[in-house]
Amino acid sequence: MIELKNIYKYVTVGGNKTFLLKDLNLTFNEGEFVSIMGPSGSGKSTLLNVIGMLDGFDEGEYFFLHESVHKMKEKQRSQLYKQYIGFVFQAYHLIDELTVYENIETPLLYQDYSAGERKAMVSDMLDRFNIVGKKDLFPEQLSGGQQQLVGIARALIAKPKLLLADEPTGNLNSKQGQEIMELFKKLNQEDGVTIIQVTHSEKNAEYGSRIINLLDGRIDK
Amino acid sequence: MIKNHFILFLRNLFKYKLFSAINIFGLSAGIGASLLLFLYIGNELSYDDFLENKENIYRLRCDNLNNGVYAERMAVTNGPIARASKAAFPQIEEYVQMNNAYLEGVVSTGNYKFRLKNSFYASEAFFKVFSYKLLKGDRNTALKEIQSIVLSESMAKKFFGNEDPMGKIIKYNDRFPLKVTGVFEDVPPNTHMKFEILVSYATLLRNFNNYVETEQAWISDETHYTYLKLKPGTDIPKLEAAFAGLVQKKIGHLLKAKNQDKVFSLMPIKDIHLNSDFDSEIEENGNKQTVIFFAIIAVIILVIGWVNYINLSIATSFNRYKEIGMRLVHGATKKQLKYQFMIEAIMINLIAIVISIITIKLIYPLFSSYTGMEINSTALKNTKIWFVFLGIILLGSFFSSIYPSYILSSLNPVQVLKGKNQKTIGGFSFRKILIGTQFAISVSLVIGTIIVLKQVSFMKMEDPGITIEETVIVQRPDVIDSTWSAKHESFKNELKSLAFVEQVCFSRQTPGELINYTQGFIKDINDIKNPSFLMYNNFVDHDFLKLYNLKLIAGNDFMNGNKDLNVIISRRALKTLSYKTPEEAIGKIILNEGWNVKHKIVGVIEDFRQQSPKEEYLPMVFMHCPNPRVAAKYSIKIKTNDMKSALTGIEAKWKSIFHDEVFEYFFLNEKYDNQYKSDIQFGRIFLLFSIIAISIACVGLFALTLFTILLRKKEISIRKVIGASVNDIFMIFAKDYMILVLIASVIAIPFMYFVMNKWLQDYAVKIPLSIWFFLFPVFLLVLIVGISISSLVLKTTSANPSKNLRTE
Repeated sequence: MIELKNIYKYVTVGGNKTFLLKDLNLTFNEGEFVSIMGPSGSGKSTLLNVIGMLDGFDEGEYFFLHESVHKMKEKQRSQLYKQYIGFVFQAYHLIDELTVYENIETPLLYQDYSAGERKAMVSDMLDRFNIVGKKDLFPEQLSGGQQQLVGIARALIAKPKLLLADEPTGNLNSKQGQEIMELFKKLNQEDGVTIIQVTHSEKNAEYGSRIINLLDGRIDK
Repeated sequence: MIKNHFILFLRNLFKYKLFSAINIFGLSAGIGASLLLFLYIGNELSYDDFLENKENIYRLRCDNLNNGVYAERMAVTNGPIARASKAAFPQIEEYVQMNNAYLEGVVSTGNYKFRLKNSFYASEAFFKVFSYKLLKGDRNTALKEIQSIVLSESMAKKFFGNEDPMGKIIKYNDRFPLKVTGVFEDVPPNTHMKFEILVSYATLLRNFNNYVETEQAWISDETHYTYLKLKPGTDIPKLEAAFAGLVQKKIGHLLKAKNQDKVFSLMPIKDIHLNSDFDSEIEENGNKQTVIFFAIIAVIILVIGWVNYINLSIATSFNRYKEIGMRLVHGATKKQLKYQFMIEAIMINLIAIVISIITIKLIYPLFSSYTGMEINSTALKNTKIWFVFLGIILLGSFFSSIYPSYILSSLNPVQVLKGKNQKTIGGFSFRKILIGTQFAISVSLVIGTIIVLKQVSFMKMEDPGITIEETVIVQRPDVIDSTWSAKHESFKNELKSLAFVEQVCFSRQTPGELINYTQGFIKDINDIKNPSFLMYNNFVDHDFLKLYNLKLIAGNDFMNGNKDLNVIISRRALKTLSYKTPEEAIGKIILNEGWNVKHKIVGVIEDFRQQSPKEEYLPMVFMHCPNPRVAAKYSIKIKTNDMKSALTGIEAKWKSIFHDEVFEYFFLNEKYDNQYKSDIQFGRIFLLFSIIAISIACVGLFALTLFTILLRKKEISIRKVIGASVNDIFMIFAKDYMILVLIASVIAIPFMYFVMNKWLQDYAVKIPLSIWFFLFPVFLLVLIVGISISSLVLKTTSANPSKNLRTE
């Protein structure tokens, strides 16, 4: 599904190149649940952003569903990721001024769905996550776990093939974290969603079928 | 999608109430203020626009030259030119002559008496040329017959109530019967010729024994307004040139003998209101410069409002970084984001428009009584102005949204979500330029306000060389018959017998009026070839100089000899006639060209301000002539603490002598001060709009400072913990703004020095420009900026720093 070949990303500070990602070669297959681990600053989030096409890279090749992302224009990339990729963030990043319902609906606004379709899809999602009763609440009225649930619902609303999660449980207590991880596992096994997550916790990493360890922008073998 | 944006817009509006309020206040104050000015401008531009055929109607006017120099520039012409030109030039389809100089006195029926004003003799073709609506009567013949009168609807109602006025008789000065032959719809206020009564021109020709058509009338009877309806496509300069030929043919020999010339020129009727400022205008016209000036102010205030909007949007957009990031992550394109922010800009502008219209409706009466700026309902119906205004607002909303939406949509989602670049994004240098612009405009407006207001009070303070206080002016009775002379004398004597009356005199005109009687005088009567000089004449009795405290510098009052041929001249007239000393002039004989009468100079008086110090001193010639045909006003000097009973006393004397004649009076100083009215209004408008502009700029500054301080709360707390004083922290924030104030002042001061010098050129008496007029606004701005920053800094620093640090 995803193939990264010799990916480099660096910043130049005072004439010296500091590598954020250095010569990464990775393949992710459809249906995988992969955990990326590593200490702070090892490039986990950068890698995730590169995969999610939110961030660029300086050298190398990136194939997504056999299409060469590195040759695409921004518009094409945006077309690609809004169709296939969902994001989940550590800090949830819900829009404070929108209700639960509207937050979940947001991604659909940027794709061609009619108002009726949007309504059906959001209701479906609310049902599935058991949060119908909270649909008119604002993020600040929810607990952290509930907010992350909404964040995941939002990530899944457009039926992505790939879910990218950047420390999804980092701001949650262990019980809430566990629930989220169970949900991920279920999504992966029952719905066949490919998941790549960044995490600090060994325990959470175990939920994945494969663990990649990063150190200073490289794969730590 | 639009619904989604709309909901979000509203929630944001209410969430950040203070910023929203400031934003909307700035915009609606800007929009409201400029809307008022736009309506005023629309009103001014709409003059005579409703007339059909307006592009073919021209006013003919005339300049007189003495020895090749312009002596008189008039809105009027003589009488005969209209008929002569119609006969000579095929381009002229119709002519209309109007005259109000000879229509004086009262018209009355049994139940209503009207002292004539806004009334004209008008020639036959009037309603053929001008498309004023005639409700009753025939357009072609209403003004044809001798002794016909046509009334406005409301005037007809006053005279005849609900009866049909057609064919009814109205008496002119109690004697001449006039037959009502038509009723026209009341004339709209946006015309330069406001009239309520028209009398057929044939009546004038008969009453004056056809004097207005004689050769003498070609030279001296310049009292007629002449309008020509020309064939479409007429070559105007060519026609004007042809008039010169006609003048030569008719009176060339007369003009040559006196080395004079007459130049006729044409002006489109639509241009009159804003472009015509000649002697004897029907009404004081508008001023194109003022209109342009107000248009500039209107745009400036709008710009200040939008600058605020841009500044605040960029600054507060920090609140929305997360939203923007999320939208980008979920596939929003930059175009979609720009679109969203533009919709928000238009929404907020629309809210501001609605608020400003409501506010204008509420405060309009107050505004108009304070500034004297009246906007009539026809201006509101002027769709052109509304289109222009809405066009400007939409364009403005569009442009003011471009920059913020550009900035916001070009954010990098990863950095935004990481919380980077929060403080630096948005180009602070660009915002600095915007704030600097606001400062420069504010300083300029305050400088302008100060100088305009100071100039007005300076003019009022200036010694006019004449005493006008405690003087009441009473208009003489309208009807003059054989008993008048005796009544006049006894009225004067009776007044003098009153204890509180100090002095009484009778004159044609009083101070504070434009002298409307001018004649040419020749210095040395032995040499008829000597040039004649234009002098301003007033006809007075022998108490005039005493009552008005005019200072004789040589000779005597009208005491001895043949009073009626003696004249007193002013110092300026002395100079014009080139006598070296006042004493030299005494006893000299000068020739009054118009009357062909010799006058002896018996006195010379010091110059005084016949009108306000706006105008130059006039070369004045006072003639002794208490004839009621010429003179019209009693000046009564009063010394009393009880003005009310003094007036009752005067009125009682009037009643006992003139019986039921209309008693009309006014206080001279009020009338004199009226001359400053337009300047005071101008100053007030200036003041008002400066205040609006400055308040918009101030709240903007306040909001921006508040925002920077919120962003730097942590920094302030850390600095405080380390030991910075409130002063140190104040300086951090104040420094940037003070530099901006300085730069703005450096731009604004020379600019305003130039502009205000130009403005002052129109005044005969000018206030010297003091440096403080320019420095005070700068201090004021520094003070305002200082106060708003320090109040915010104090609030932040007085909080417990640990609280601010803990939240991070």
